[in-house]
Amino acid sequence: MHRLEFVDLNKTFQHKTAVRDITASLGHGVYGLLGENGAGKTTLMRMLCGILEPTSGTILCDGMPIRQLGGEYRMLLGYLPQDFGYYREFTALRFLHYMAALKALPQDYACVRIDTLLQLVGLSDQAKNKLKTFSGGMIRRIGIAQALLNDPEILVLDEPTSGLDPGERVRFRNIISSLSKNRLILLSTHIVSDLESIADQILLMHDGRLVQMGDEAALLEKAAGCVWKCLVSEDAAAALERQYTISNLRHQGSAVELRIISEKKPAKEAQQIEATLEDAYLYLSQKAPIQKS
Amino acid sequence: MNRHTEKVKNQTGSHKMLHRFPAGSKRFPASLFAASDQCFPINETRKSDTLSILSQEIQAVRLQPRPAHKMLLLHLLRYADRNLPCTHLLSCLVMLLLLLSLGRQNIPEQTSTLLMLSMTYPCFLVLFTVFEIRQVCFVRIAELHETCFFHVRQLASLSMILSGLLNLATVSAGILLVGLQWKIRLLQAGLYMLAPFIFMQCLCFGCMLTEAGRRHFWVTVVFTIPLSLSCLFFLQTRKSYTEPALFAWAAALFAGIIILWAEWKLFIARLQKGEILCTD
Repeated sequence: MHRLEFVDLNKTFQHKTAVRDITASLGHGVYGLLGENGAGKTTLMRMLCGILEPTSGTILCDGMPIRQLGGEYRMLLGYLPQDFGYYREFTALRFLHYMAALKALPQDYACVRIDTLLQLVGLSDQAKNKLKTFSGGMIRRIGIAQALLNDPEILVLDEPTSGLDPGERVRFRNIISSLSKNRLILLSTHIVSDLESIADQILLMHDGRLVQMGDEAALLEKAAGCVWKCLVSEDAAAALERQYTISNLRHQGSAVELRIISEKKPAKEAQQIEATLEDAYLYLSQKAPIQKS
Repeated sequence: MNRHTEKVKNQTGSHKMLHRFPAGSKRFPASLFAASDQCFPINETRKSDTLSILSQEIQAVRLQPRPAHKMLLLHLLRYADRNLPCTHLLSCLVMLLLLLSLGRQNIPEQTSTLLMLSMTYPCFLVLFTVFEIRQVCFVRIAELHETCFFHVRQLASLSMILSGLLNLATVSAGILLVGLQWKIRLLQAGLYMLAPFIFMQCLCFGCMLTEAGRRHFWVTVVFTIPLSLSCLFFLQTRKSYTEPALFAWAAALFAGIIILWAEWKLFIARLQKGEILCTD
């Protein structure tokens, strides 16, 4: 089992700071990285995989900078990028063999491993078909298979469920849960429900910062007492929308039912309700300061 | 590393300390420690657990020998995309066949045509090298390549070496053909062919160092046409092929090699920063 540490991590592109002052420590388990689009999740994951060089700060694996570990660190790593690139003319089998060769796996081990993984992702019967004939979900599954080729101890999955239908998402979550023992899995998403069932720890990112880190219960506790429900007229709903963060809005005849995130009671008729992870995410990200680059 | 292993490491560390300061030493009364250690009960179960975990870890390291680099390289070449290298090889053969067929006709008027062909065709081959490197570095899969044991810089270097060797072999064969068929000194023919070839490489790498050049292959193609045209222009003036001009050709070739080397270093440094790989 390995331990990863982010120490004062920053990444600045020409005109934008994507990641600011992130310090965290990750052991084994499933870590969910949650944040809106542009929060810096992908940049953080790319730095963790050694693709991007941090502007300042370091990432340590068992106390050693990952840049120093080089090939040894990459042998521990499995990565599924957000935009998974592949060679369209390759068959699934050849693509996996190609990736196994890149990962320096012995040929005989690769053959056995590829068979196992194709079964795991349910693509054994499609092994000899070209990737250009695969659907988005099937390509995603091939992506997961290639990430697992070297039986990685650190698995980084960037928005792994994007483009998957509900059935495939459930299947994927089950795969992740089955892999989580003795591994460090970091998966990013902006779909809160993806994390609810599988993440041991949730890292909440907003505007490049790590706003909160903790398990689901801890995050829910932070938002406790800050979620309200009320049934108001359309005019009143419009006024409340301008004033507060609304996590849900539902029309009920001429009235509107609102779910409001607020530290104080937003309306006379509002009732306090239990927070969900989505509410907690909205509450904590609206509380976090937004900084200009 | 688990807690047991850590404990064993710590224990080993303290033993080292004891050896460094032998018993009786005034600086470190080891005998005191040895005496106090005897008071600690040793948990035999944990001791055997630790030993078995350690031996398992050592076994695991032994059971996963990494194949030799030569084998890994062969696997990689076996499964990598071969369409582009095959087209490249075919183009090299076509060039040599063209030179050979022109040489067989042995018409003195065709000397300028032959020189023109032998100067511009290697430039055309450079485009294949550039395209092969693009296929490794500027496609979406590059991000994934960077996380593998063989990373993008190694793959780009491999492409550059294989493709460059193929080009150099073709150009060398071309130099021999041109030199022998038309009784031009080999050194002279070599300079006439290599100088535009190296400068074409410089131009292509210069393009690859720019954002526009990385995003669009046509930018590289558009920039290479002026070079080919300038080759033709130089061919028209007889002064370019006089003996004193040879020094200029040699200087140009030398400068080209230095520029190319600098560009390659810069390119690899930028790849290492990673931002090139994530331009999508």
